[in-house]
Amino acid sequence: MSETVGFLTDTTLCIGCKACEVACKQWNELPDDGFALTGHSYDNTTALGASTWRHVLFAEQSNAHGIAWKMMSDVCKHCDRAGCQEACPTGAIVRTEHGSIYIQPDVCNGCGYCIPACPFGVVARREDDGRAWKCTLCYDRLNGGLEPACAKACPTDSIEFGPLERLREKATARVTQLRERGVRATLYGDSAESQPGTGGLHAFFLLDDRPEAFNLPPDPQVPTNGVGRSWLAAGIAAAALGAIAIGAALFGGNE
Amino acid sequence: MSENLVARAIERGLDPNRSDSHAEAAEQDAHLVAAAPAAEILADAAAHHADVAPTPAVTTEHVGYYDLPVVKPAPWKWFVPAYFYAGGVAGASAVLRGAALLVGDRRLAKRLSIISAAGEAIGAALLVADLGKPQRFHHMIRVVRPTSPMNVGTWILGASTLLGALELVRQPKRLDAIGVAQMITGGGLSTYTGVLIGNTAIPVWNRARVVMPVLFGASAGAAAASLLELTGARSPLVRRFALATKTAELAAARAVEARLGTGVVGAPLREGRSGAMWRGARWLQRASLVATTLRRPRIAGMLGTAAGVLTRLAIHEAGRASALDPRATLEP
Repeated sequence: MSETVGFLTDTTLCIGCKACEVACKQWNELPDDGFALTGHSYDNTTALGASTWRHVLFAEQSNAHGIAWKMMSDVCKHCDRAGCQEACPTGAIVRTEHGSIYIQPDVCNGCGYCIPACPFGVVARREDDGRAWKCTLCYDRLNGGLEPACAKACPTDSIEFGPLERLREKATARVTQLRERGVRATLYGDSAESQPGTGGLHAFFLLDDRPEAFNLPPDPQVPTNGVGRSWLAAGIAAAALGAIAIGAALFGGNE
Repeated sequence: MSENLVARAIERGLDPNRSDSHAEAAEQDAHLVAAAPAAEILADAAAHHADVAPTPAVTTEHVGYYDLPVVKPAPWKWFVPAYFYAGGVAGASAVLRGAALLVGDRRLAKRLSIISAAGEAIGAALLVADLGKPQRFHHMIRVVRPTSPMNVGTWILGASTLLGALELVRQPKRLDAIGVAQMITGGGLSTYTGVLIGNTAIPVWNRARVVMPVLFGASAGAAAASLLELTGARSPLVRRFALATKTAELAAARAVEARLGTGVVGAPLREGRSGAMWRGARWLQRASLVATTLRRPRIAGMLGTAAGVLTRLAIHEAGRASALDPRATLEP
């Protein structure tokens, strides 16, 4: 197992150039997803999807000087406890030697269960192809000793790639620096302690606003963290159904 | 869109960041229309209030990102809720068949083993058809993955289908070990689907993850009972089973509603298309229970079958509505 690597996406450095989106599309040869204009600021992609593995958000907010842009390059979070991977019935979704979550296209049978299992709405099914797709953390580039295409293309290092431990140290230092300047910077998903529901994210974020402003759930939970109680309820319900059937057969006579 | 409203506020010469801009707008407007009657002034001011409404307080507080969904709905076609019905009926029929054999009702047992095997075959076909890559359906059984309710469910369906086919051929005189095994897999088949949808990130399903399997189990029993009534199986056993399961289904549905509460997470079962479907299914089930009580099995069977199908379609549709509503994910 090689070193666990990931992304630190620092929203305070993002200039909204979308070079990450373009680099991702080019390297991974992703199909286009239409050319509609949404009216949501400069965001015409609106969400991560089967053929959009990096997505730049443009949240517009008014402040004392007019309108401020909050930009963020969203990506698959490669959760430490990944809902998609736990839900996958075929074992197509695996954790790689880099600690990333990868959907093997030759195994996925397109059941679609990983899609509602993702607490961030990352995974999607490509309709003409039938399989689920998402960011691979550029698995092929990592194996070739290269950093992922989006991080390579980012002109401001808003997207930083590296060993998770180093990214965490860097992020903590950056938060301290920003707070000294009066920016209300926080980390999102940097550790299991700060985000127990996912066990921490391998692609975590430095935010200067509430997570909701970037369409990130404030307290994401891997959906299977309560599956035991659910199965227990199913067992009790099945036993009750059996008891009702036997009761109906044995008691009451022939009326 | 809020940003457009803010832009419009700026055009109007208002500072969108001052909390008193509402009052200013009203004042300006009132000044311009000074000659108009007081009531009109008030109405006009109120209209402008609405126009400039998302001034800073609202803009910075607004939920999420352009009201775009946070999570994605399941991409399933109607095949999956149809499978929930077929699989549920098959599972509950397998359970009731064991009970029928126990008291030596071989005619009913045979009918139930046919219904069960047919439900499993139709259900499996629906599931394969819903896959993005149907030719790879067998990838489901290349691994055993206890963390995946869908994988566990596939094994339950597989075992239940095998036993169902075996029992269809065997038709034993009384309940034996294989019959008991079929009852167990049948019970699993009728309830695991509640675990499957409950353990996703879809708020309306996830919140009810503990009561969903109970609803699915009770509803499977009610659906199987209704199908028996509809297809002319007349016995006191069937009637008692119908009364008990339909009552249990209504109670479990009420438990689901109670668990979801009155907030935004439970909204899909109260409002919109899914809410209408859910309410319709509730009324059909109540009517079906009344018809069973009044010894009108044919009508009870029709109403109960419609209720069973509609309940599953409603739950499926509620999941879609819940995923598309960012408030359900971001607010609670």
